[in-house]
Amino acid sequence: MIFPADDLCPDDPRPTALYAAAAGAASANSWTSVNGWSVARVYTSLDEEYEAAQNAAGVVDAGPVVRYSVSGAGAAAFLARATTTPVAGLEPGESARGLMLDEDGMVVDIVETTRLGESLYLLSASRPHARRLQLAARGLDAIVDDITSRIAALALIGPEARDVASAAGLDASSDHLAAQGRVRGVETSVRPIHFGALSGVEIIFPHEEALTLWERIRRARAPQPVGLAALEIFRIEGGAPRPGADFVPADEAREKDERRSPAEIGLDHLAPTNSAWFNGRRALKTQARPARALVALSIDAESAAPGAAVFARKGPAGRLTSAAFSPRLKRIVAFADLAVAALGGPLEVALGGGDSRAAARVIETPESRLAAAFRAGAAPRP
Amino acid sequence: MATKTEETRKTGGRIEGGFDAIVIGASTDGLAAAAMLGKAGFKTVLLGAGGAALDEGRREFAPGFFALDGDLVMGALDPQLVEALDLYRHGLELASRRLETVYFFDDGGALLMEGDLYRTRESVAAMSPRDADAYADFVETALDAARALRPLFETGPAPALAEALSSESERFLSASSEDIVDSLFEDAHLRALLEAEAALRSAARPSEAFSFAALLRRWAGEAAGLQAASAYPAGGAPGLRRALRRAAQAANVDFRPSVGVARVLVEWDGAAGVQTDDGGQIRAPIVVNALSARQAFLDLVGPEHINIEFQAALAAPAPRIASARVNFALTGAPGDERTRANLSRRLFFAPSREGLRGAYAAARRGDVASPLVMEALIPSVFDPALAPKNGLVVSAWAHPVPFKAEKDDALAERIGEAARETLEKIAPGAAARIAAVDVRLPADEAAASGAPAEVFAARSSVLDQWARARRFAGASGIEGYYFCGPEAEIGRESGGGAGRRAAAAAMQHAKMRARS
Amino acid sequence: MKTRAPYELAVIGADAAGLAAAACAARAGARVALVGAPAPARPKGATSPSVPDFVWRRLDLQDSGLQLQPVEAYVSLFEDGKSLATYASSSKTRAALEREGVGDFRLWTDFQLALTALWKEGGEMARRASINGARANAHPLLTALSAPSGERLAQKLAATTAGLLDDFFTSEELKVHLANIALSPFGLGGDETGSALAVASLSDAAGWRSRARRRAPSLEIALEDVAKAAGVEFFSQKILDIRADEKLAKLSLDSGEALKARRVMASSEAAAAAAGLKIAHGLAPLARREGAQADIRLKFSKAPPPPAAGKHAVFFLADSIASISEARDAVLEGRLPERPPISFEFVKDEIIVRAPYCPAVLRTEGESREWTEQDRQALGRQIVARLAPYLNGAVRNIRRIEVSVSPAGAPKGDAGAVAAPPPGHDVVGAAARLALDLVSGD
Repeated sequence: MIFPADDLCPDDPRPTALYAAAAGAASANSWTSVNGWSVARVYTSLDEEYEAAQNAAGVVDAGPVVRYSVSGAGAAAFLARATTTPVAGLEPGESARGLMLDEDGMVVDIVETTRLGESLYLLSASRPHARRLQLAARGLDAIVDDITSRIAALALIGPEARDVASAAGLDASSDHLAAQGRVRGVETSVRPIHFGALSGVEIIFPHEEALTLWERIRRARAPQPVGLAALEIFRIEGGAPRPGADFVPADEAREKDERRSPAEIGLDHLAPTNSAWFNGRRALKTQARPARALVALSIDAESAAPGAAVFARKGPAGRLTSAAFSPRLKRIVAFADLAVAALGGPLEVALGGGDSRAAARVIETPESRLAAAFRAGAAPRP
Repeated sequence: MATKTEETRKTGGRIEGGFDAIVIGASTDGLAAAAMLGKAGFKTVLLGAGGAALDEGRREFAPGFFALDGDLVMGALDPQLVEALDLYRHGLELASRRLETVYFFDDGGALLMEGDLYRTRESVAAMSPRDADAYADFVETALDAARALRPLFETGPAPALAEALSSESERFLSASSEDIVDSLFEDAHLRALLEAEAALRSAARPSEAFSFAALLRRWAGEAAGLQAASAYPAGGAPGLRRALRRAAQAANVDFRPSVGVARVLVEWDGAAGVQTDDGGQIRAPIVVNALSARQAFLDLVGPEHINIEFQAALAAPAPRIASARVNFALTGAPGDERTRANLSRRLFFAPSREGLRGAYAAARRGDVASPLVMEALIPSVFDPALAPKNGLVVSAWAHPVPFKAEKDDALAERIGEAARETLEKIAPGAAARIAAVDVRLPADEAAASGAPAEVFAARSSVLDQWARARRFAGASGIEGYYFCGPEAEIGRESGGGAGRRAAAAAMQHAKMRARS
Repeated sequence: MKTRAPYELAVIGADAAGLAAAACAARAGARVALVGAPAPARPKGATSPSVPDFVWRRLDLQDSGLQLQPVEAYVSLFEDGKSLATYASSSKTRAALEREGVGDFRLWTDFQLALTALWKEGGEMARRASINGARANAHPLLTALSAPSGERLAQKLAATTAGLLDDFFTSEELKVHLANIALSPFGLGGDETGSALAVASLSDAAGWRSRARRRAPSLEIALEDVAKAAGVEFFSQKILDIRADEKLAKLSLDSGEALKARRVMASSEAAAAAAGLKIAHGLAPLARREGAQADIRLKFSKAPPPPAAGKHAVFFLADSIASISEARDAVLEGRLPERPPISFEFVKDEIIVRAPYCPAVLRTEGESREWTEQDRQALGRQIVARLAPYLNGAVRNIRRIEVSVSPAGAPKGDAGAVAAPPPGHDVVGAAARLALDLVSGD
């Protein structure tokens, strides 16, 4: 699953379908806005939420994830063009991750495609792409519909997530296929997902039934609601970069050199140039070697903030793009945008405003292992 | 005139290989590209009549009167193409190397200009010394700027342009014709002349930014070794195509005019050949497309193989303005001495600023104003076989008229009427001797060639043309795919330069491939 | 004839843009002359241009008592009774479009992003080209074109308003609304090369009109005070002639005085046209090439009822995008458009109408003539008829109609002696930036 970043300037966020339920559970009353939707940063306490999702099950309001339904005879062609997901190989029910690239092969977004039916797909993106998709659909027999505000979506994550779902009568078909059906008359789609290192299920259902479903799940097993702050830790631990935080989406870059290629954000395994064509692939083939690298770091410190400078032996190497304290590692986990030349040597991160620095090292994540395997030419796509 | 290599050979569902290059569309640029490739030793096949299928030569539009369709005069015949293919040896012949131009004005005045613009000073000597000097100075500055800008108009890289130009010249590029003439001249004739020359066959109104650049582009071209000259090839525009065709035949290009292309095959990231109408395939690592950009990229390659941003760049607003090609059949000998002297000249009617503005406004509304800008020539003087004895064929461009994608006889009628009135301004008394008027509009050209009518509309502003030409030359990154359709040329004429450049790029690509 | 030591900058046009430009240059330490009769006072409560933040800071306008408030909404009214509003805030506009069922609302954010990017590139180029009009050194356009992927920029710069809007939106009302508010200040028709910049310029926050708060001074009064305090010298006489060489320009005034200045700029193209001065257009596809603007004040015996959108909005009328280009064509031909696009606002018991598509000189049967009182009355009647359907019968309460058409002097003086700010919706910012560029040296 992908989860978008919060907006820098929230103005007047709208309630998600699950807002009433989420608000009831959010005793910490710490809110933010994501894609213009209200989302709880913390529900009860960060530690509790992390703990629950890590060892049992947590429930996440996935309302701010932007959803497009893509239908028509040209739906697959459209998705194969607009994203790097291997659409042709998807069976009904199957999902695959991919990137959205611009014509120069620079990353616009990280997306996920689920094949719901013969020629019906669900495209989940971390931010809206109305214009790009409007252009991409020209000349193709595909109808692209933004259904974000018409549906409710929640995710159950953690080792017990699938048990919770089963208890509520919401089973995915298998550990990789989505199931659609009616649960007590409510149309739902349940699909297995991965969030960082955690597995889980995502449940999508009509907007009007939001509270019924939430209640059903709560009664079945009462999973702990998990807010954005805890998700952030899982995300960084899992090695999943976030558009808008860890890199500037190519569509929004004001300067050309702000843009990042798939390799520069460590996701080249999501845009293999040896399979079907996608937008920007030809440019990708001729791209220069990456000069920057987005890597996950562990930092021996209690706190560090995005924007902090990272130093290599020779001098400044880059900066942190996102950071959070990992209760599991008892230190900071972070993403850093670094010069490729700085990798391999010892790294230090500037702390606070002062001169103090903390040692940092590059860590492996599930994502970086996939990338490494891909680069070694061994791994099939995840 | 089917020759051995031109026999109709259908692929009949077969896959045919062994070619180095495929050229789609036998327009001037398509022929140029095929001939260049063939001459360089590439085994080349030229498919389809495509583009402007006008090389049949003459068309009888009234009993005994023949018209030669296509460009009227040559002002931008690509010199490198002529040299590389040795086109003179293949039958290219210039009936007139540098046409003098007589300008006619609203107030009945007229002005004769040398065929060599660098001798403008002598042409305008009869005018007030102040204007004559100012005009001659301006023409020289503009010619220098045009020459410096030539790489830009030929869509090549132009990194050193900023250094090569005075800041005044950059203004020539971005300003409107009206601004330029307002800042330079007071003489009504010179003002009208420049505005009308820049407006001819251009959709950009003289009050619009970048409108003057259309004239600069024309002045950057050359014919018969002389910059900004107007030449007339024997046999008109079809005469040039005939020479190109012969050059291509001499270079062993395989002509297959009846083979239609259904798709361009894109495999991995490169062109692999074409799929023909009958289901067969012809394979080659180089495909050069001389059809319109829409056909070349949307119809034949398809959105599933071109980048989203590239496809967005293909979108263009529907054209509103066109030029009409008008042919008059004139009977009886011309009257006076003066008119007789004009028979072998380029005749140009330049309306006043108000008249020109009114004509654009009318064309936008769907009306036809009168008089129009008119560039006229009398081909039957160079080739008497085009008209019966004691008759003349006058061929002209009349501009601006409304653009219609469909055939519209009523519109053609009104344009014919306006053209007749304009001709009367050029040659008083001529209207009475007109036996027939033949009006050819974009819809007619489209019907004859199979290309969309939009391709034959008046050209958009030079900035827009340049942007598109450069962009389309990149072919969305598809390796081995080259474009030399009408959008690849900047300006109102097709001089084969785009075809030559596409062929050169293809050869460069082949060389790189051979090396790796 | 009296002469003085040369000024560093002479600004022509004593409107808000000219006052701000002169004051900014004076505050930067230059000796500045401001030439031109003060603009006729606007009725209190009428809208004015906005002031961009950098001008506010340079002039410390908070000390002048000036309080500007952005106009609440721009509202287009349509014949079928529908209306469509946009707001200074992009998210508010998006929400309003969604509420009104305009399907294009989803594209609004991307549209704003595209406009901002286009204005950043195109506006910057126009700015550099307009300095170039006064100083021959750079080739902003050629430099940009010869950069890698210069053709992408070129295609954006060459886009037309109609093309840009058609490419994004399907709602006819939205397209007409945007075209009208974007194009009318420039008298453009929307199909000109580069006219998409008029829409792009709407992304400039200071391009939105403002009103001074009640009991606070009007923008012009505040700026005049600041300019005087900064040492700007005012000349309200007419300019008879301007002659310039490389170093110095000489302005002859009708009082017999002569001014010398190292640099001369007009506050806007309109100010230059009113003074009869030729300006170098530089790279300015938005330049108004022809025509004038008419201002019509309709005075009512009792305050007319505003449309549903409230009296604080500025209202726009246009039938279609085609009607905008037809109006432009009419102006180029020297006649009054039949159904001109207009805008109007309610000020107490008045309606102030702007008719930006008016010929500067009328042409009938091939002859040019100046505006007469009869022509002005005819225009007034036309405007009243155009407004009547939206005023709920209040037209019968009209007491007086005042029509003024922006003057256009016969061109005189050396061409290229006067620089003008690049056209855009932020008129004050553009003039101030040009003034600062001109006095700052190379």
